[in-house]
Amino acid sequence: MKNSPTVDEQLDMLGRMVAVRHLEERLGELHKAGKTRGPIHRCDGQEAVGIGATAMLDDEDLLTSTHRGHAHYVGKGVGLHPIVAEILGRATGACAGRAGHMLIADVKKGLLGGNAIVGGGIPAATGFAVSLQMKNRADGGQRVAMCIFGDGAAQTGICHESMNIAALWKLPVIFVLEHNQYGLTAHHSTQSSVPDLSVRAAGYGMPSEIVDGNDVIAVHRAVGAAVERARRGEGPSLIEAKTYRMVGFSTSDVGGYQKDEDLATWRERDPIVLARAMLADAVPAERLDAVMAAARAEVDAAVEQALGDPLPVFAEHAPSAPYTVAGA
Amino acid sequence: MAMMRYAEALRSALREEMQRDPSVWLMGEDIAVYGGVFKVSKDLMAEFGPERVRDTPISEQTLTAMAVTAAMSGTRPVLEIMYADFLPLSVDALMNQASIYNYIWNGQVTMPFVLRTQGGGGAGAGAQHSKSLDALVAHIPGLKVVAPATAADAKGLLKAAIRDDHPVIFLEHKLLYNTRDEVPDGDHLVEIGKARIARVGSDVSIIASSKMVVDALKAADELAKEGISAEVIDLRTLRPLDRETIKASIARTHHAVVVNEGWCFCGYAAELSATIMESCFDDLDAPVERVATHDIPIPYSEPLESTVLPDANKIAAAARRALA
Amino acid sequence: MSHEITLAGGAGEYMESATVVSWAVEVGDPVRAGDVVVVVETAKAATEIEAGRDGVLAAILAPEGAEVGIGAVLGRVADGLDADEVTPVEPQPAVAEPEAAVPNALAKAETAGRRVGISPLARRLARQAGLDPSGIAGTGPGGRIKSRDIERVLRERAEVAPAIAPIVAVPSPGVAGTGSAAPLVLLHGFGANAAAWNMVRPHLDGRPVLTPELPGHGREPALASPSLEALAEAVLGQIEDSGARECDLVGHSLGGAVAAVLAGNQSVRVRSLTLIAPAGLGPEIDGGFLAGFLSARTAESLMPWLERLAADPARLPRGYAKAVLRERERFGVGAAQVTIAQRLFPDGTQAIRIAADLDRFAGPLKVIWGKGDRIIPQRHQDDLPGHAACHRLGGVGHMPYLETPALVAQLIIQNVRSAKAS
Repeated sequence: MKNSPTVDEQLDMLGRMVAVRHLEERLGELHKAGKTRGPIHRCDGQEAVGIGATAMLDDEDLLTSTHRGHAHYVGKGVGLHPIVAEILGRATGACAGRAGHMLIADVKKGLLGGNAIVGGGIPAATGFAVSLQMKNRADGGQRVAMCIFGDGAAQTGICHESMNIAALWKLPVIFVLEHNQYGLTAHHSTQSSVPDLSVRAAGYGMPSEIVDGNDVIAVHRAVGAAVERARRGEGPSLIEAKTYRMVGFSTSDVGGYQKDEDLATWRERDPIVLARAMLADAVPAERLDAVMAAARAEVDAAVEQALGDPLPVFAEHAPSAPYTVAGA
Repeated sequence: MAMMRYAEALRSALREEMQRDPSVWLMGEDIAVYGGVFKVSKDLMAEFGPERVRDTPISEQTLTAMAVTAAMSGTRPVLEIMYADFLPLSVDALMNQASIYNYIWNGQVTMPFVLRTQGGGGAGAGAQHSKSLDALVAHIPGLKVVAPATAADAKGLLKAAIRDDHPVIFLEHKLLYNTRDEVPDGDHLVEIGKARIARVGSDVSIIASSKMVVDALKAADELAKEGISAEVIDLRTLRPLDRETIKASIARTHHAVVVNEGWCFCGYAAELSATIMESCFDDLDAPVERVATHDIPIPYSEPLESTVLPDANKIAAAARRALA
Repeated sequence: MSHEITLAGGAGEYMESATVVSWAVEVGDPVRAGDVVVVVETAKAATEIEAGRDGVLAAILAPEGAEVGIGAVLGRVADGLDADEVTPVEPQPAVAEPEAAVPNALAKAETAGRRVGISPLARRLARQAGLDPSGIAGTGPGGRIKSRDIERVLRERAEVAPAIAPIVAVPSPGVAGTGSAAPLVLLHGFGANAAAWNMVRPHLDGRPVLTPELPGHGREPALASPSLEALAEAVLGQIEDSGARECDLVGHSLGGAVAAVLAGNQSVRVRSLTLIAPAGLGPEIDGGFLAGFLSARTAESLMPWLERLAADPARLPRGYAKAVLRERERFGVGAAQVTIAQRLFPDGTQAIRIAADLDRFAGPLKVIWGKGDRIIPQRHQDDLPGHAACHRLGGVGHMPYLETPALVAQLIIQNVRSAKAS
């Protein structure tokens, strides 16, 4: 099947999904132990979207993420240690402790970046796509921008503005809607006039597809096709990946609004369980165990190392200062 | 030197920078085919093509956010927001996006974009097309804000802004577009962050920007007839503020009038006043006098609008109060 | 006489009473005007009350915790802690009825009567001139004292004071309050004092003049380590203390070198610089004169050396030698001057250089030299920067301002005027 990942690619995605899950679990513990600051937005159960959608991107392709972006960060190739160290506020973090877990960026890996203004990543990716389109035309490159955003962000005005402009200018951008059913505590049925947001793409003359967001291979196939279309210069696409947020909005969420039966249903469709099952015929169980154990060990090592790393020291930032002059 | 209108000086800056650097491009509403509602980008699409001079949908919030990230990824966009009154639509992109990334991402990115807009009253354009929102943008760390008063500075500052690696908000004034003055020939650049003494004087320092410099100079003419020698400082850049020029002037005159066309309360003039109190207190021989727009929506009818806006008479009266 | 500590400006408009929170000083402690002496709480805000004058806290009349009316006297500051001025802490009666009932307008008027409205600049100028602003009538809005009021008072004072000190009398310090923001500053040479300029001053068109004295000269205390820079710094302090923000600078001999340093450092804005036979332009200096001048103990042994200063010794003031010796005796400047000479002119050689300072000074520069100078050779002016104007005066020695005062004054004024024009 077109855009299907190879077995090695599947193993790689499985490892990354396990790493993300273990990262979220470790962060939950660290948060409870008071080792992190502020709320942490975990993506347990949504790993297949972030990992599957980014697997075919290169470092020169630019990704914008959300406040719930750990799977996106790991999928785009940012190292576990810089991520963990950033979340622990260390000088060795991806942004030297200035960003925190919602705003991580890594230019070398093309992650630009987390964004905690809901919907903020959508025009951001559209803007990237303008520059990339001009660069591609100048040098024959095939760079693309991708925006992973949620069903809450889909209700913003900038989502509409961005999709219109992207389609109008045939920009090389892929809109990946990670539909986890909830905007903070509000179910999408209370926020959207239509259950399937992908129907809106027709309004921009933009192709769209709905995909099982807990099936990493399905996500990979659908997004892969959209990426290829963008690389060919044919413009943007919208992929709506249906998934479910298995944890609260953040570590400060007291819960009570998600139905037990929904949680049970989606738990049975755990993306990691599904991804492993899809490899069962091709790969011996011992190898799968080893891949998953290695992923967890990598997270543990990153946490261990980051906990011992130094905290940053405040430094002036000339471009922010009101009383300095350009170039001085 | 060549006599040039303010709008022509801006166009000449855009043209020269687009010729010099192929990564510079323009976007905005009605700027390409029509050449901009104030004709600043007239003829540029014909010269540089529709990819580098883009008409856009009416989507200011998204366009501003797009300028931020386009600037991060290898091009230098110049975005025109037709009226400063529409800046509130841009504020999320400026305040939550543009302002933070260079710092929060630990210097991994720069954002060489310019947001050009025009504001100001006096043209009977009503409450949604007459505001000066200097304070709104000058409040934001990580942005530079310039507001030229002359054609020469319009050209020199716009060229400097396009070459700057950080976001620059470029505030024009609708009543200045047709004013003319001498613009130096050649690659004329004006350093961002440096004020200009528009008129030398010894009794009182009038600190202004944009069109208020024109009014301040008129006020200085009136004051001169009364034997009062007013110095007029044209700030040119609102952020970062050139404190040194202000300090040196007040050390000579000991009296200050701060002028801004924005609303008075929490306005840019208040920042000037605070700055003077912090750095020139012992040089002051009178309280700082503030001239700004009444804290009220800008009305349409002429006698109403002229009542609320600052002008030369109000500036001169403030100078007299300072020297009383 | 004691001074009352009251709520004065600390009282809010809407306030009827205040509570004393804490005293920052104890009875008997010295206080300075402006020191916080007591903190009161008014309308939920802590307000610091400052001492109105220097002195000693003589009495606390409202102890901590006391509730007092807005007119209440909280304590007293006196010159000293005389037995009859010490008042033990006595609880004040609680809020007095009449005071609480004073209408706001009256209360404010009373307050205004106690607190002097004065601009920051005027306050600074008054402090520098040693003026108590409380007696000065302000002409600003609401009676606020502005800088012009301080300048007026200083001008009036100057008019009352004798215009010219008697020749060769030990001068009064020349810096206290010309009140001018841009005076003409005259710096005397080695071994002289501010009185050196008495012959020139009548020819200066009555413009404001400041005559600082070098450390170890006149009444200025000696410096332990009198480098040229240290001398300049001390003179700069005197200029700044006068309230001057810029000046025209004239210096003779060693004073010329000091003036050049001040002009080159740009630490005070120097509009024009006039140097009369300045030191620092070459190594030669008359070592015999220095040694003889410094070691002479009698008028008879000093006079021959002084005569070297002039082309025509008859032009020297009568009693010059005695005046020099008297100053050494009264103010002990002899040793200080020996130290300066050893430091700046060791072994009869000028160890100071001002060429770089003159290069940095971009304003009008005039150099006046007597052709008959026997102390510092006038050929030192041959290597001056191109923008310097040189005047070589015939028949004049090392002290042109004594031998031809009107001409020297005329040249100084020319230079000052050219600065104004430029």
